[in-house]
Amino acid sequence: MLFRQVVGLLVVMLALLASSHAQSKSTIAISGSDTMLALTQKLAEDYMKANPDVQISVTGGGSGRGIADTSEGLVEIAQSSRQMSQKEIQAAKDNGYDPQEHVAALDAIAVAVHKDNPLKEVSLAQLRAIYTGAVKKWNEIDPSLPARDIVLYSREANCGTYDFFKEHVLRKGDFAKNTSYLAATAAIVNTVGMDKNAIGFGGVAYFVHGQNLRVLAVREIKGKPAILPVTADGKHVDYDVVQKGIYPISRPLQYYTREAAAGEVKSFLDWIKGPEGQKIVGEMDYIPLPAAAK
Amino acid sequence: MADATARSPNEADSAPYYVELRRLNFFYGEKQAIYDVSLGVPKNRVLALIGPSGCGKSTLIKAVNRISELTPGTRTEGDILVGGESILAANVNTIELRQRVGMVFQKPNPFPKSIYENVAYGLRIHGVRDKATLDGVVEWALRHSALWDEVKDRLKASALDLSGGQQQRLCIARALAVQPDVLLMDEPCSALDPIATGKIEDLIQTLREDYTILIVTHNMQQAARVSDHTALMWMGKLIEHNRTEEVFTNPREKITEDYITGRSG
Amino acid sequence: MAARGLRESAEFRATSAALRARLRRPVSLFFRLKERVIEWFLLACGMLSAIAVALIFFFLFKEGIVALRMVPLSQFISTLSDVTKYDPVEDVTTVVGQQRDFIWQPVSETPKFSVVPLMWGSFGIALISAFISTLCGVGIGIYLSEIATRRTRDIIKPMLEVLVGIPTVVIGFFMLAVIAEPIRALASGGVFSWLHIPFYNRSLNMFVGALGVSFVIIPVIASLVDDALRAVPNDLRAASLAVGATRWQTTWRVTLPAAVSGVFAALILGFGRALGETMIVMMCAGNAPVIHLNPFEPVRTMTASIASEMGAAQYGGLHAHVLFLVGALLVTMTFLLNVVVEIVINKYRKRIRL
Repeated sequence: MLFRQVVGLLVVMLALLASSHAQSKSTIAISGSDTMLALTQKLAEDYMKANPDVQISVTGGGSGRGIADTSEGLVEIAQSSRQMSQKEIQAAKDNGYDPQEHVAALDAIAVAVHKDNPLKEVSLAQLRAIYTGAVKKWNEIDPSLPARDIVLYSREANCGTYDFFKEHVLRKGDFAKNTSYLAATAAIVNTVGMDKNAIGFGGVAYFVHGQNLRVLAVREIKGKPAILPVTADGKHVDYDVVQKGIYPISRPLQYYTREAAAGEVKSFLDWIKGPEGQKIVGEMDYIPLPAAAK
Repeated sequence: MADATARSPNEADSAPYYVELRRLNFFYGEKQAIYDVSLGVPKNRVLALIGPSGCGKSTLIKAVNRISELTPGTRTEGDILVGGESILAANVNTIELRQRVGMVFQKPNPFPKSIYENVAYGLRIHGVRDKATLDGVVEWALRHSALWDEVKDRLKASALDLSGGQQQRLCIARALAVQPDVLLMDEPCSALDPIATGKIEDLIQTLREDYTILIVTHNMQQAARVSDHTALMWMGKLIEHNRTEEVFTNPREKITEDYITGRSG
Repeated sequence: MAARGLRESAEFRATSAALRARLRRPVSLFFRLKERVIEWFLLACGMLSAIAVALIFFFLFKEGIVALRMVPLSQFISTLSDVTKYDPVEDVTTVVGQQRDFIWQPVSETPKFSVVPLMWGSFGIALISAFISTLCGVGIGIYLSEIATRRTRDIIKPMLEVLVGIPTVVIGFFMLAVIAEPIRALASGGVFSWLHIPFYNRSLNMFVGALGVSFVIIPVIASLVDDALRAVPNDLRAASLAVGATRWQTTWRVTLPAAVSGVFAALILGFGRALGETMIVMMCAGNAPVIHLNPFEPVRTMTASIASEMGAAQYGGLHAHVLFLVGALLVTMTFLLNVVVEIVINKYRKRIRL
């Protein structure tokens, strides 16, 4: 009786295996940046509507994961909110691949505080001081601010936003040890909106929907003007300052392929860079590529 | 009522009842377990309750310290008097009642504590804290239950290391420690070997001088040996209640005669 | 009388003889083989779990020990880290020196792997949630076993089981989105100013994490305590009540002590689960690898570190090896905890024999 059950189970498993091989659709697997997850999913969804023969699956896991997955051949495309490091390029080459970059959109990292915090602008040096722990209380930045502890929020280390901020703002210095690492940018937006002492950062698109918070204008160095990455009411992304590269913490969002893209992968990436894809980029609160925006 | 008086063993023993059941009915939910039972036992006498399994005799004595109430859905009608006072009245505190009416169970059930703590338990929960009193009462209770000589050197040992018969005597000591007047014994020897049973029976004979005892037993010889009065229960009803030698030598009812001679039950 | 008659009848004798012949036949080979196969199958199932445990241990230690070779042991305790200073006049921030500190900063130019703050976080959360859930869990267990009527029990017990079944990520999200901030607002004044708890500044902290973990452990403890108490023979309760004890005295002095090994096992099991809990602490405990005596400051646990960093750590790299080492440490502690439980329970079992 037991034997019969085992045989039955095997038959069912074989049938499942066979059926999964039987599908004729060409598939594209994408993994990587969580920041870009929503964007890529929306792009994939619309592309699949127009091209029903193509099956695109999108997962997150962080830019590092996506790049690793690509250079190990697990997925066709990596979505990454940072550029590949020399180490990663080398690792891919060691595997016999020649990774190609496809910039798809621009992103800006916004820095925000609770709306009750009077702070309006901040310099990169001040951000570095705050996030490396050199400055512990708000009034050490500006005596007019409250004498309360600064509560630091960051994304986890597996995320492109973290790497970008660390390299660009902290100049590769370490985050202060009392930094809280949250698993998602949305969590940072929510938490900063709740905590009067908080400061947090993340993709600007997330912060235009945030409540009870204020996006700070960022000054690159002394003497330059502080630039706000959102409109004055805080409800929309200011495309102009990012596209022109005036806002100090902005970056390109890109896709990586193992080798020069070809076939379905190429047509998908071309579609993204084309007018339809770029329209979606704008709708998703990212900044379209300068050429397409005109 | 006339029927009940006719069955009363009082014609032979004129002492008034110390524990008395008046027209007692007992229900488990819808099911009636005891039908209109009236009987009693005078002070310092032993009443044996005999009858086949499920006849209601255990239920009957458990009603006397109201431990039967712990089963949800039970209901008692009629009255039970201990020392002339109703114990079913609304103002009766079961804690005080159970201190006056001690109980020994079918299976020895010592607590998983030391011998000393088992006996001292009843005193401790009633707030006795001073060591001298506790020591004194523990020794007194153990002597009274004929266990002292066997355990006096190992009072701190676990009660569970004792033999079954010793455990049952420990349970008696535990009941005696809180100074009851009445002792209820629910088949106290059913889980014991003959030697241990003999010791408990001897003990009952001495305890009888200080306590009023109700004992449930399946063992006819035991009833004959230890009791002054015997009551036979049958399907929740009281069949016969008389002095023990009368019941065993000259039963009035046919059922009694069949039961004690082993032809039924 | 009738039975004797039947026994003597020829029909009975014939049937009986036939039956006897059938029953006393030697057991067939197939039958014996079947028994064997079943035995082997069950043995294999048992072995499988043992092998799985052995493999996990082997793998974790094998990978973890590599980290010990790559980094000196002292670095797992404390490391040097940069100290920065802000100059408001020039508006620049510069590195001014180094200091020794307990830093967990695995993604860095010079990675820092002090496990001390992670252990602090794990044990802090486990201890606080064990405390909360011991109080509540044992309370609920006692209520279910000793006080609740059958009907109440039939309502509460399934609800506890549902609570056990809620995915921890849902509990984490619930704590994060619904509970954390109101607690902070309450604690730091607001409506109940008398409740003002100093130093309660951050909505996501060790306490909130522990509270979330308690949601998972309370039903586990309650259920096990309920089982342990119900295993105590009713005779013991009756004996206690029969000498005039109240229900509470009976529970506290007789039933609970009689069930102590089960209750203790429940508590340690709860502690172990708290130590291993990942999702809730990752979401609600603030996730900052810092040692702070204030329980209302954030912490990062060993589990949260493994879960959130393993994805980005390159397999075979130092960071991955260190994470394996942290895992080995965690498994070792859980294992020791289980050993302690076994020893204690056996000791009590001997003494109580229940």
